[in-house]
Amino acid sequence: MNEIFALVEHRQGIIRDITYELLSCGRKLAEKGNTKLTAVILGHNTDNFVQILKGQAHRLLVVDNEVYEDFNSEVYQTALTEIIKRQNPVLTLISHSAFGVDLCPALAAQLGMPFTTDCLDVELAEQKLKVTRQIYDGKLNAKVLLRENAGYMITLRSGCFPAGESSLDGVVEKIDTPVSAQPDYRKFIEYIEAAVGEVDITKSDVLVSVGRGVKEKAYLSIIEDFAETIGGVVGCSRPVVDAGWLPKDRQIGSSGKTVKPKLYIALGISGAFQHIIGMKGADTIIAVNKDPNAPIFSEADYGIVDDLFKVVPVLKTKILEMKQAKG
Amino acid sequence: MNTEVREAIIESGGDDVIKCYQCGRCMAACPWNLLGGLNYATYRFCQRIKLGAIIDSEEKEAIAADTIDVFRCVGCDACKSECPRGVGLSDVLRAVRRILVDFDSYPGELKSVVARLFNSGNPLGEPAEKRADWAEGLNIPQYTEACEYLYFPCCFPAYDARAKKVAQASARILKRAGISFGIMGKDEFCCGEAVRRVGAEKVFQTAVKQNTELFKKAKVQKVIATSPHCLVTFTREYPEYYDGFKTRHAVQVFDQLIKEKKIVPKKPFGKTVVYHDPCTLGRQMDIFDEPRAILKSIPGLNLVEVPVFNREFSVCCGGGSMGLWLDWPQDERLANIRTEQILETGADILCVACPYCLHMFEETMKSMDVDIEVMDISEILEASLD
Repeated sequence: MNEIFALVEHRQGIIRDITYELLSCGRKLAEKGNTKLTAVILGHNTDNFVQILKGQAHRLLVVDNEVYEDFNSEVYQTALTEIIKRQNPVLTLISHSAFGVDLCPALAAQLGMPFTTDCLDVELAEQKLKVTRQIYDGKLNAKVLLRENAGYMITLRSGCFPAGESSLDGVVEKIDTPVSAQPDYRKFIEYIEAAVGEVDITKSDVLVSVGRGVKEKAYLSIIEDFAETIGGVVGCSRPVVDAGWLPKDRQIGSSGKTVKPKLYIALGISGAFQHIIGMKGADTIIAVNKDPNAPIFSEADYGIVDDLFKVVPVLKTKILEMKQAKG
Repeated sequence: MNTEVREAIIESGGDDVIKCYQCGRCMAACPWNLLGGLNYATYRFCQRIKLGAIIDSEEKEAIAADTIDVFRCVGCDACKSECPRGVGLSDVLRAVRRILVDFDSYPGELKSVVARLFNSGNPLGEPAEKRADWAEGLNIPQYTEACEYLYFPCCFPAYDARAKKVAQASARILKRAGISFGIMGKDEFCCGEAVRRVGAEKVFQTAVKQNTELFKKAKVQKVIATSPHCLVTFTREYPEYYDGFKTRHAVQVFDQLIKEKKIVPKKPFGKTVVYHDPCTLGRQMDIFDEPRAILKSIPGLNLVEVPVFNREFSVCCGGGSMGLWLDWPQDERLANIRTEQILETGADILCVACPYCLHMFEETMKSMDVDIEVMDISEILEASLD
């Protein structure tokens, strides 16, 4: 079987975490298919990347030019079309990120390759590619068999292949760049950083969410402190945004964000269905509310009927004690 | 002039546009204009459609503004009851929505609801297997031909932890009165009212097909609905596809049961109660007297009315036509205006007869931090029975 390619994703000189997941997935497939994994690095001043990724793949294909310093899908598409045509990998793995979804469909179309997005799992045997992806709003996993072809391309969802340890000694191969300038019609301009203090609540494993029960904006500091202690971030239900205590991007629910953390602690949230729709996918839900009839308890794995201001300090003390005991 | 858009809207059920002569009474009746400064110029819609001047811009912002205006209508029909020509503006806007939905140009929150409803038969995306969980322990049989009535709780009373209590109270009252009824449980599908109003006609057709086939097979002839949204849809929209059954709202049945003395409210309910007319039950189905008769039959209950804005002049809670899924800014919420009116009555309890109103007002009371309890009429009635 031909090689497997994994495209290294980087931003502002740093390799993105998803890259290690792509490489982990690629190694597994290569091992099963008795072939090799190549990490494809399109970048500028790539020595650092090579150093970091040397142990992660059998081969590192490096194209170093300033044109790849920042992501521009047009440039990547032109370059990768050339590279893939020349090297004929059996499968090219790209992240299902803003980067990947911008690049991949056009690239696959240009190469005439079968292509699926947002894959959770991949099986490659006897030149046949079968992937798992979700349908019906995530309710069902569908296995999709792609039209048989010499080469395939997929985007992989983050979090599906844990980045594993690896002690390969990748051969570094540098090739000339097929592209040397960004096209006039699409140029990279600048990175716009999110405002300081802005939090992406969808990315946190632990969410401490507050509702109307927090009573006053001043008390939010208690919640923020608690969230920090347990390594989480603070989200909220709509009334907290209505009151102007937290910005809209912290709102969880049908008109806010949908979150799936490992742990969701709902403090003083009654649990209107609009809120529940946004958080019911959490692995474990703990609810604290004074009202034993609050609908949130029907969604919670654990419930505490009490004033959140009594519960939070006790929880915090206990967690700190456990942390200390663990050393 | 873009005649193509006009023809498409008329074909999609917006033929009332032709009747409109832009007198503007609809604008005065529209609850959105009770919010000072919003200036929701409803009377312009028909003229713009006739001129082909709606959703005709190529500017993204202009299309977005048009779309927001089209989806703002909650379908309360306050305009229709004032219109000298009987224009159903909510039907006209529904036709416009059908086109927007076909082009996938509608608010993201609503797309998710439509998708959930299509996938799982309810707007909450809950599994069908849990649809009868509300009835656990109540010993309600699966509907068979032997039952006189099918009790149809619809989605919120079947799944939402708060609204379940309404379905439970209603079922217990029916049992006490010795009514023969059953439920469809997991086979029940949303009536589809909200998806139709939002313009997702194909999904509505799915709902109609599921329910009518189920009703036909089980030979359902009489339905009791807890949601007036189901009532209006079953009564006015389903007969086009299947008219083998008749639907009554729970308040109509309860009122009759009290009159026939099959249930007798005896326990005093020593509270002042204000009744809010749901748009779908009141203006749209002309059911104003039955809920009031029920409340008046309860000893010790002091029934008060919202001044002026009662019965056919009731103001929408904002939940209709999927309004309860849209997150309007705090100073643009109909439930807030209605709550202010309700507070003026000094009532202890706001009585509703619609699961949407129940939810909208409970949330609003909490967010406005006012101390008035919201109860469904079935809950008040049950509390007064021995």
